[in-house]
Amino acid sequence: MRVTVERNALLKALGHVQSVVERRTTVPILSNVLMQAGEEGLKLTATDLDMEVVEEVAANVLEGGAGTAPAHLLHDIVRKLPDGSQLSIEQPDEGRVAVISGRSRFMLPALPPEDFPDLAAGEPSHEFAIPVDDLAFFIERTKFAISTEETRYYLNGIYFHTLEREDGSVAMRAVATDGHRLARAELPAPEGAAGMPGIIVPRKAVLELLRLLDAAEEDVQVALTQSKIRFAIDGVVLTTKLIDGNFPDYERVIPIDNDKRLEVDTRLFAQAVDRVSTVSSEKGRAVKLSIESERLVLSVNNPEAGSAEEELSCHYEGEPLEIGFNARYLLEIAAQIESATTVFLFSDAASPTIMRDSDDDRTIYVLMPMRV
Amino acid sequence: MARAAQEKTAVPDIPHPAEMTVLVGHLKAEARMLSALRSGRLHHAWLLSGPEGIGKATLAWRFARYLLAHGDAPPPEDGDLQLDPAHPVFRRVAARAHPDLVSVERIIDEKTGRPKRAIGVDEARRILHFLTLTPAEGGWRVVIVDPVDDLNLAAANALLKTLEEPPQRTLFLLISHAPGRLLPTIRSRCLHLPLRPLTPAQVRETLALLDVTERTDAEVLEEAIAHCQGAPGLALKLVTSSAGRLFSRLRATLDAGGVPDRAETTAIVQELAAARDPHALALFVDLLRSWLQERAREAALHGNAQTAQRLARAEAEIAHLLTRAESLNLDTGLVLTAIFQDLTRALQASPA
Amino acid sequence: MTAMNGTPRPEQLIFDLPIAEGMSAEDFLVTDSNRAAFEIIMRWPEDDVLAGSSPLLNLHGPEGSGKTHLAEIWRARTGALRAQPDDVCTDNLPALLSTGRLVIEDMPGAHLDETALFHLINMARENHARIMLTARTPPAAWPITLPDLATRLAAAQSVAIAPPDDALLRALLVKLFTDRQLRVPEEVISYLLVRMERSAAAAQRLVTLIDREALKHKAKITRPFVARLLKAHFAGSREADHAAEAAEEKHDPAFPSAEADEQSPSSS
Repeated sequence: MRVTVERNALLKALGHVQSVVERRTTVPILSNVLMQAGEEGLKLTATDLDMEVVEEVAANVLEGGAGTAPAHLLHDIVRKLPDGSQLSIEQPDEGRVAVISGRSRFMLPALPPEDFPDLAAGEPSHEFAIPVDDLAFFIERTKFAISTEETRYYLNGIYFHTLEREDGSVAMRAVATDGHRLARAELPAPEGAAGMPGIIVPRKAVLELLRLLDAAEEDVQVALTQSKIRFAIDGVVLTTKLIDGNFPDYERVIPIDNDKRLEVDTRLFAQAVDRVSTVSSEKGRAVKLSIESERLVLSVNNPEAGSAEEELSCHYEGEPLEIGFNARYLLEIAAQIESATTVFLFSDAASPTIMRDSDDDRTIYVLMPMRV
Repeated sequence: MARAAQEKTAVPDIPHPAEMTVLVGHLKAEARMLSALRSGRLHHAWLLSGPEGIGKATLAWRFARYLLAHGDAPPPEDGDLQLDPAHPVFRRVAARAHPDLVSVERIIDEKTGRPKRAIGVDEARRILHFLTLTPAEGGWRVVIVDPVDDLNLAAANALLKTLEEPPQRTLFLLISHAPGRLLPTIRSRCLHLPLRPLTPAQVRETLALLDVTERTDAEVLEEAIAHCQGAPGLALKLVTSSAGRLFSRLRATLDAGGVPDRAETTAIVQELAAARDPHALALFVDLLRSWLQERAREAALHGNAQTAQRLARAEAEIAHLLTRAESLNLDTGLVLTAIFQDLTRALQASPA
Repeated sequence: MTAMNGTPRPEQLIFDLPIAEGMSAEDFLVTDSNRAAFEIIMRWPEDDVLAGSSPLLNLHGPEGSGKTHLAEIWRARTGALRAQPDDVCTDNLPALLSTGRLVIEDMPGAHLDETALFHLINMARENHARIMLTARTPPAAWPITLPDLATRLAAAQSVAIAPPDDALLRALLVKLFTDRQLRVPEEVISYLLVRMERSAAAAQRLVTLIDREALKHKAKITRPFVARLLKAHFAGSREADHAAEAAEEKHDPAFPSAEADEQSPSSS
């Protein structure tokens, strides 16, 4: 292998792939990045065995071939080379990779490329293209509700599935829950996605994906195999294993006949919750909402730290209601709501409550109250 | 890795079972595995038991590689579990970089050269995490625990639940040097496959296939084969480590009924200390202990209870010394000197 | 609801997320206590020896012992319909027997139409249809007033599921946790096994309780967690789980010496 490549392009690609490489791994080859020089340029691959990121970089290939080198080390070296410089990567022998730029010359230990894992294999059962904004929307709107409790591994990710709507069109949904709250985002399904099996994408992959979407422009190409999902994002390909579990039938916890409707200014509400919860205890963080016609009172009563109360105007026509919630949950959901007004739909103080954006019915949030 | 010091032989490092291409013997066990594959009903957990160094792990890794490469499609009638070392699955498994295999192994403490006392719950958790994700190839997942004897209670507990309700298409290969001491609940979930020590001829064949024979002094080789108790793993250690050579010198004295003199023991202490190889010290002491055990057993068989007791006690004291030395991180020379004192005392008291 | 000092402690409520219980034949745990029942279910009525002259099979056993599961296995195997005792009325009879196989669960029910059932049995006999009845007690213990029906029921083949043995309870706990996709260390199972009431229903209740409490507190299911929970819960108050939560927060390993509590939780 012998290639020359532009430093900034290589740095960007290494930045993407090296973030999946674990700092501490007992398997030497997993610390390395695989470099394959072919007609297309230089292909970089890194993995932690649960997911894999591959990126192609434009390069002048003088001699094809493959090699591996320590990912973090290589990244650090390339980062310190001068902006815009050209560098050359070669393999003088099987055990070493050389990085040469100007008068700098580095020799890095190499491991055989044949030992490098491969997560990409497999024939996809479903393939579709999804706009970057749509995929980012799915993830951003639901990721806060993902459970991080290992005991509930089947909730440690975002559940994606498709369904037929009443008008015959097909929708795609992303759902996450930790048992206390649930977030559901829905968009028209991309062409080709209909009928795909429901899958749970692990949290770690979801977060990595979101980082990659940040700078992306073109539609994301998605391919689903029996046990993996692959996202191709502007030349970066992320492949991940899925969570091997069944996502619960979440529809059952989304109430359909909550008839007590509250409308409140989203920002004022969030600020008030934040203020009154200052005095709440660390763990419980319970805020009581006392709601009557056109008047919402938020209160916290903490025997150790005192009490707080704040009144907000609102729109409410049902019977007076008192209901408690975890302040953090309220804030996290309020942060997802972009329009000026948040809609609450209540049943009673012990039943699931719906929170929604007044202008956007693509997302729905369900929150269990706290008994206060 | 530290290499044993300056022999005229240059035997290669002993390959890890994940990289081992050679397996001699255990044909019946391999046939059981093949017929399980053919039957289409592969039991989810196998317990491979037998003395250390006879090839249990080698067989387990061989089975794992085959399953990962070929799935559970019935193997051909005259087939075996061999996989070409150039096969991508072989390469990745050998590098411990196959996404559908996880292995939990005895961790060698580099300082002492001895295995850490237990495999803890953090290691077992790696297995649980592995099993929460789908197999990357969409086929089988393989879990290897080597040896399962070393799991501490918490780790064994964590593993047990998954053995009781195993996820689909998952194969557990558990290796045990002392299956009698396992949690009965673990044993009862497994298909038990006891493996036996090899014959001297099979050990010889193994060493030849590993290119050891031609690089080793014939006498050293025969010694190793004679004293490895049917375990090629031990035979390899005997020929590669300076400890093996040093011990055979000592054994010549001991077997002749003699007591090693100070000059002899000092030479051994010096050589072992100079080798700066913690594995060598560990091996030397292991060899000495099994010699004592063997003599104690013989004495007992001949009705010589007193001698048997004294030898057994010396063996126990040496074991104790070694444990203490490890925890205090004592100097090799000091430990050995103390060990020789114990040995000399035990031998001098016994009638020659 | 209110703790000693008079201050209510807020409690997070949780979703009632459904669980998918495995109900296939592979999911059924066979041990000595239910082997006879399982084997009959897998062969009746095709096996002539078992078929006998009566179109009825009675399956009885205590709550949670697996009657519904066995009935489901039989239904999956034979294409039987499923009915409640209340469904048996004169108008329905042909419909109930339309597939030739029928399960009536939870006999005898509160308002059994005895005449209709009698006719149903006769009709089944004429048409070579088969009916399985499940109940907690054998038919002799049902309050049947129609003598002809009592005779028919008495003539039926009957198989009992015995209260679960240790092996079954253990396997059942493992299955219940697995159905809920929960990772539970073995020691939790062993801990429960020596302390729980010896019934499948108790196993159900315990696992449900542990599942819900762990979800509420976002806690790992460990032996100390379960010990605290049992002690607190069966001390009979909700403070209990507040106490468990408090201990969880403080990571207080000693709290409240539940390890020493060898009492069966069911005894209180």
